[in-house]
Amino acid sequence: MIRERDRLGACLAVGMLAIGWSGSALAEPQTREEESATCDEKPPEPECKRECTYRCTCRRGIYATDYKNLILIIAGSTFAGRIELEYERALHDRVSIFGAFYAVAFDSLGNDTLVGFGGLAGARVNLVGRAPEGIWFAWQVGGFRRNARGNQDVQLRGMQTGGMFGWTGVWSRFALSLGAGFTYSYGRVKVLEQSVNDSEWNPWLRLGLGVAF
Amino acid sequence: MRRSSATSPVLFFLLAATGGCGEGPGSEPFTPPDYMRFQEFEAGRHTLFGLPPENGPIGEECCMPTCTYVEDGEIKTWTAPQYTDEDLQALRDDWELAEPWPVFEGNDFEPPPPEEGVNTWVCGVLPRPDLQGDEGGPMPYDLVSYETQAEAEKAGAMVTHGGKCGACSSLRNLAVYIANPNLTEPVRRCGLTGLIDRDLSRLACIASLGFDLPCAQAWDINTRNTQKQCLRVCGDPSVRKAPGNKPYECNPEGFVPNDINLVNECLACDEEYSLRLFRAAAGRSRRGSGLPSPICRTCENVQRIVHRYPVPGR
Repeated sequence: MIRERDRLGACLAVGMLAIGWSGSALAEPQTREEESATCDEKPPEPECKRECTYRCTCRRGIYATDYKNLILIIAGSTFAGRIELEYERALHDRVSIFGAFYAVAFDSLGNDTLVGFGGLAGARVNLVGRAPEGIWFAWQVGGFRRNARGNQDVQLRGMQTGGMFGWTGVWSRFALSLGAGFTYSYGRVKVLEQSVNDSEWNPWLRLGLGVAF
Repeated sequence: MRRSSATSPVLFFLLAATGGCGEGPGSEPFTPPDYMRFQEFEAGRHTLFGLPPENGPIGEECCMPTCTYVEDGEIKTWTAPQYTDEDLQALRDDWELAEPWPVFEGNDFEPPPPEEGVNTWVCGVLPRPDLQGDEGGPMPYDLVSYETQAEAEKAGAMVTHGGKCGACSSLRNLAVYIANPNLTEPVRRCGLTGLIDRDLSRLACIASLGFDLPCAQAWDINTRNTQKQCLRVCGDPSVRKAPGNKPYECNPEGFVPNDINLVNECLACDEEYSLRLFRAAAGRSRRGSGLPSPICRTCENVQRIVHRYPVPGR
């Protein structure tokens, strides 16, 4: 089954290249028909791993992955020493939920003074395509904690919420996810015996790489 | 002081995997700046104050930790002292602010309107032996703003910087200033970290340099304002990576150096839009404390202060 899916994925990729697909497939629905025609090796319905509720077919193609699960490394924040892993599961053709855990262990910028961890959870609603692929809007909530690494007693605890528009693509098993949005963070910073509440809005960019299964 | 408590097993694994178990800057041994390279040069009227990086745009002959000034009709020179690790430890251990400086509430800080005339205000450390317990320990002190140095001395206070007292006036924060001759760079990196991590880490990152909370907030106010006002200039990588100072000759013809036309565009923007805000919030500036930095400045605003504070009765 897996081998067949990979073969179909490769076939689809060749098909896409052949017709010069370059991200404008959304505006050209006939492309998918051409792919289906070229890759005429669609498995019979019973072999579909996933029950189709939205398109009512199991054809493979752009934004219609068979896979319901994604594990991603959020690579964009690794730049700042944040190692983030995200798991996403499609509940429905249009809806998926996700959870992520991250740890801040080093700082490539050279500060190297704070370590910490955090977690977040949220839901994605697909505007185009079948979850977890396609163009989506996500909303998330999470919490975080940081401590200073040196002698200075610094603690940071807080919560975060935010929204983002993005896109996820799956090729064979490889997944790429991009997005942009805003987050609002609220927390308490404690230094020695003094503490203060702090809050801020920040832009939020996403680059995730991973696998689908 | 307590060490940080990273208790998560995952975090522990990640720390081990990345080899990131080093100590923070607060625990690094302090190395006094090298003054030897300035010995052969003599300060003149156009000499700048600072510790220029070697092979930087300004040579040692034009920028050194020494200023000339006129007193009683005589031209004199003053060299910023070289502090030792013991000096820093004394600032941290021998003195304790009687009443912690209040934290800034809310995200906005409005500086008071600029005052007319020459600013002669100084911030003084006023010992409070009456608050010290019988068991000894650090000497409690108040931070008091005086209109003139003479007034401070008359009141029995030791001047710690020029200008009114603020969130960074404490001797504990002074130790951080002395231990980190170039604070601009780590604070700028904290600003970038906060932008990428999106989790309020900028303030915590600044505090982790060793500042107490109100002083970290003052630097944070400065950083946020500079990010807001100077994003276009400071976001340009060529400007950001440029040396802090522009090239400068000691005998300028027709060039009157000031603290803005000596520095790169990003620092000039910071100086123009954030300096007044920062001074109002922090109180203590490097120049106002007589501490040289790698960025050379005119001697005009440098206060000649020696930061050794004898504890009364010891």
